[in-house]
Amino acid sequence: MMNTKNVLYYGIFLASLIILPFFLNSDWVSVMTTFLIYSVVSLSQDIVLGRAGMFDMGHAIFFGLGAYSTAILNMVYGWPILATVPVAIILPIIASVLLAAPIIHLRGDYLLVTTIGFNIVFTQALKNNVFGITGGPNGIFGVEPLKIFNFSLSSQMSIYYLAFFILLLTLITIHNLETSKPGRALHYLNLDSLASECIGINTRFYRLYAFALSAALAGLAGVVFTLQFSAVSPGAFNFIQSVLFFTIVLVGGPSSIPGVLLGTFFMFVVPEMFRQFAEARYLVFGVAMILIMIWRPKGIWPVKFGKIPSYLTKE
Amino acid sequence: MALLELDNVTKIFGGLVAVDSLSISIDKGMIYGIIGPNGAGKTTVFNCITGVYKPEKGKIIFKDKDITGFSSHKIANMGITRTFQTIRLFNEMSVAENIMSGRHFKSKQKWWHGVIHTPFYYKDERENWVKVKEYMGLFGLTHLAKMTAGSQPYGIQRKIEMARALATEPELLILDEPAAGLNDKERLELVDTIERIRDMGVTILLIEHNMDLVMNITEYISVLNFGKKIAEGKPEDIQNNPVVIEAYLGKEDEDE
Amino acid sequence: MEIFFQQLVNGLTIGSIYALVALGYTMVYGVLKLINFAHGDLVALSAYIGLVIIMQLMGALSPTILIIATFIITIIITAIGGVVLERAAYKPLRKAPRLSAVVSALGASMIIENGIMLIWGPMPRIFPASVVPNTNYNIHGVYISLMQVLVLIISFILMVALYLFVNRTKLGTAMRACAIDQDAARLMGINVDKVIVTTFVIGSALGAVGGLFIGMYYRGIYFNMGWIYGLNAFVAAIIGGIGNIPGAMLGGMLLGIFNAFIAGYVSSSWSLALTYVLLIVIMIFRPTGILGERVAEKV
Repeated sequence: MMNTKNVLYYGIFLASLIILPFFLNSDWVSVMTTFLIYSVVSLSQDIVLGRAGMFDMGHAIFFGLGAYSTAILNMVYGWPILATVPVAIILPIIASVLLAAPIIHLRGDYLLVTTIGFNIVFTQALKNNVFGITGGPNGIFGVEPLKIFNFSLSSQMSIYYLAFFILLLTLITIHNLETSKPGRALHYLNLDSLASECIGINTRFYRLYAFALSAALAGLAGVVFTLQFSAVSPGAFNFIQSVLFFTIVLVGGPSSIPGVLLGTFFMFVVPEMFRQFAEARYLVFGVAMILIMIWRPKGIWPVKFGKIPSYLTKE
Repeated sequence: MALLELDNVTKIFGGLVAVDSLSISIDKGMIYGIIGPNGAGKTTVFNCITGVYKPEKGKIIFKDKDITGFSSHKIANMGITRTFQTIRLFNEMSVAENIMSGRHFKSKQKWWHGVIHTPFYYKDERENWVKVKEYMGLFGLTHLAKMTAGSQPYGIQRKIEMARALATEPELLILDEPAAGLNDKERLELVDTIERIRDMGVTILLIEHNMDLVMNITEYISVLNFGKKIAEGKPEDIQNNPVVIEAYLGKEDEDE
Repeated sequence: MEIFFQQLVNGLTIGSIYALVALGYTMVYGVLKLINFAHGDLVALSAYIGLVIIMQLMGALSPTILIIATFIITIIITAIGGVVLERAAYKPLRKAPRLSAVVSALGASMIIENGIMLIWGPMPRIFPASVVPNTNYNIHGVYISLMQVLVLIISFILMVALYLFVNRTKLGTAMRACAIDQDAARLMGINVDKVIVTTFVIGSALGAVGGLFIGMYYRGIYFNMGWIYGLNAFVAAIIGGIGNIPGAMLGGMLLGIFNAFIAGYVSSSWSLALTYVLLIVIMIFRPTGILGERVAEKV
């Protein structure tokens, strides 16, 4: 149910992302690549946190599982990168359902704490080199680039466009979700779980659905993250990262695609711009987070409901 | 033959018997009322029927099937939907989206339609929105379609909630104090709406405090006090029943 | 058997510190239903403040007076910090969606953590060894240091005092009333705002004691230690039943002992992971904690 104005805005946004790398030096292309990847992770986090309203503060697990799947299968078992992609999507899905199933009935804060717990166990396991394949605290280095028909995507630019492609895919997926029965069900159960049950929504199923879909997207983002740095390490997926994704969604605007994109920009790219101020910028950032929440408790760009087909109001 | 039957249903909260061996039987197509003083356990009965609570004892039989202990969504999908005493709408969403939630089970979209839109998706989506349009028309809500449900006046919110429940195409509609907070005009409209819903072939079970409305509209009444059924019968019999007058009507007079 | 008792003593010491910090989380959660993510960082801050005071006054005062002065000044500054935190980051958001307050708490945590780093630098700081005399008592092969004795005794006194305050005083009763139903408490004439400020004062003061203990017992302090001590203490609060004051004390002790035994018998590299496995297991099987009560939703 996109109106022409929205199509235009998204067109401009995507077109500027396409031409952007030609105006940036390689450092900034790298920053923007990470921005695209983080946008995908944040949009996927938003499915669980914003849409379904479950306080998941362990989303970096699924991001990390995707990244590590690719790195391990490539480095330890010698798989080509392309072959690792399905695993990097399916493994996070399985993990998300297994982890979420026993806890999705928990009330907000309890869920939040448990997912923090999962995340800490996850990174500790990576650091302790479980099964001898995660490379311990230093992680895994030297992951091969993605090869498609003898063409190797190893340049900074090619990775940027790969990340762009993944973001595009995510935007389409989330648009489709938003305008479908499962997507609406997430909002319903978020706003009033009991009322949802009483009109026939299997809230448990849709809660797991939200986790599975968001884990799949986060896993996919993980693949590109591994390719960008040719490496993975536990620090990139620890629970502080989960806190970042969590905050991005809330600062930007839960359930709002432009909000989450803005949130990612604000929480990730803006600090990069102020690199010369080193660590002082995070202090300013803390202040900004508080002020934004006081000024706009529903995020910088809050969600607007009521996107209904126009024939509903016509006679 | 009975559409819904409660057989010795008992619900206990930490030693307090909220519903005590209640048996009622509701025939298809009728408007059935449950009345009783505050705290008599009426809403608890509704919560047991709709699977919000699981009764300790007894059976709930809907269309000859034992549904005791089923989850709420399963019961809703079998054809029982309800409204709430304190209105429970999806406040931030639009009126149309609220009513669309009632189409959830009837819509045949599968999980993958949340990821990929197939031709079937477009057909199904349109069919269900058209249904929403019908229900908005039925309740006179069309002009409010895009408005936020939570910001509507009380009377409109009641209508939205009923439209949402009706959009599930239930066989049994349970209304928990539908007239609470309505003014005289709205109450008259409500009587009209309830009768129209009944004429659509939907059986109605309601709790109501407003005596005029209950006596006016229902065909059969059970009276609850302290979780126990103390009387049942046609409205005129209930009105003249001394036990009821003592337990309920008398007390109601004191309040006013 | 000696390892067992040695780890028990170590566990009770760490457990007391966890309990002191956990009380701050649980009291705020009880009254505001908010996870005060900045509490751990306030604890870290108090350790740094304590270190500054000790370095300034060492030599000028006798050791006993020095310790007492350090505690008093640090407690006062941290308590003020707690109140400022509440006024600036939480009070403006009392009516906002719950998650907004969580983000605000995370923002406050970032401010304190990075503030500490800007002032004292990213490298760990070390408490001087001689603040508390390094005396050890040997009881049948189990070593107990004077510091451990101090931690155990002071924590015990503080917890008993808190218990009496909450259960025997008017303000304590008001606090319990606010924890059950803030609106009803307000209608009964309780000054909810005063209760909230008191909660932050007491919580921060206990946290300050915890922070000083961390500094004097472990000696090494670092700018982001608030997260890890804070999280452990928070887990302790949940194990006991969040919002429940005796629960936080019990949870702290249990977690301390659990940690010590894992470190003593299994491996220290898995200690952190196993702590959170314990948390997850409790969340799955008894989400309201050991002493918490189940609350039913009104329909």
